[in-house]
Amino acid sequence: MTLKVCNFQRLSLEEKKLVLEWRNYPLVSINMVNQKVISWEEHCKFIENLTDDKTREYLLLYKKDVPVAVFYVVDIIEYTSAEWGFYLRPEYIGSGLGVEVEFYALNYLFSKYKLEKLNAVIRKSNYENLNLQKTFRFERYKEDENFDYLTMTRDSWSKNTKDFKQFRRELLRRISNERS
Amino acid sequence: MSAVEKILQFVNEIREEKSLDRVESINPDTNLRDDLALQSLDLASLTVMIEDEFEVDVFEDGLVFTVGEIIQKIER
Repeated sequence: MTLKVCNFQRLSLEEKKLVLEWRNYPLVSINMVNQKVISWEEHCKFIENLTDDKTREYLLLYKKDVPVAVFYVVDIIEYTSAEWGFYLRPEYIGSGLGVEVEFYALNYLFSKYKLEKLNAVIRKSNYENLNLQKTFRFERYKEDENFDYLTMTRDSWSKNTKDFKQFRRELLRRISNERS
Repeated sequence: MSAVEKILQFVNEIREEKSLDRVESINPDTNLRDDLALQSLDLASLTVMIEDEFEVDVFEDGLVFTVGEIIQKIER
């Protein structure tokens, strides 16, 4: 299994187009905090503004040389906290790939930024993602009408194995325990 | 028990845990998400079950969406 990332600032023109297509796909945009359709101009401006911005990082994730997902981290305070999210290539939604993407992303983010905690904001209507975060052991610390606000500490994440296959087995045990 | 029957057994184990009705049959065209209502975490579970039974990680070099695609990887 090979996963690699490409920072948004290094995206080719084709990759930029691809990412915008995914971001505006209805099944993706409906679950974003900002649900509005993004124009090409806005997209390019957004990527341009990421230059020299140490508080945000956007990455395109490849699996076996196929671009499969975007994950991002904002409000980065190194050694302290950040907020993250991801979206899959639309045809891979519900493929089971989200588990692998999240495992890779959390390892990357906790390791790179030495975070004490990582937050996530998930729409209440996004049941599948909320269920995924619960199984990963994110905990809700706040909620409002539309969103659940989740957090995970470095200690909690560091208890997990760094091997994805083993982690997948651990998830299976957690799911079985929760359902029984 | 054939590979298809074994996959059907695994699918039903997952569906039962989710309080979904058992599925009586599957075929190569059966879609894991649309026809069997398996979600991301269920597919992760199914992958582990298949790996234990057939020693094949069906997600190792790509994605699978149908029962037929799983069978292909098992029989490769």
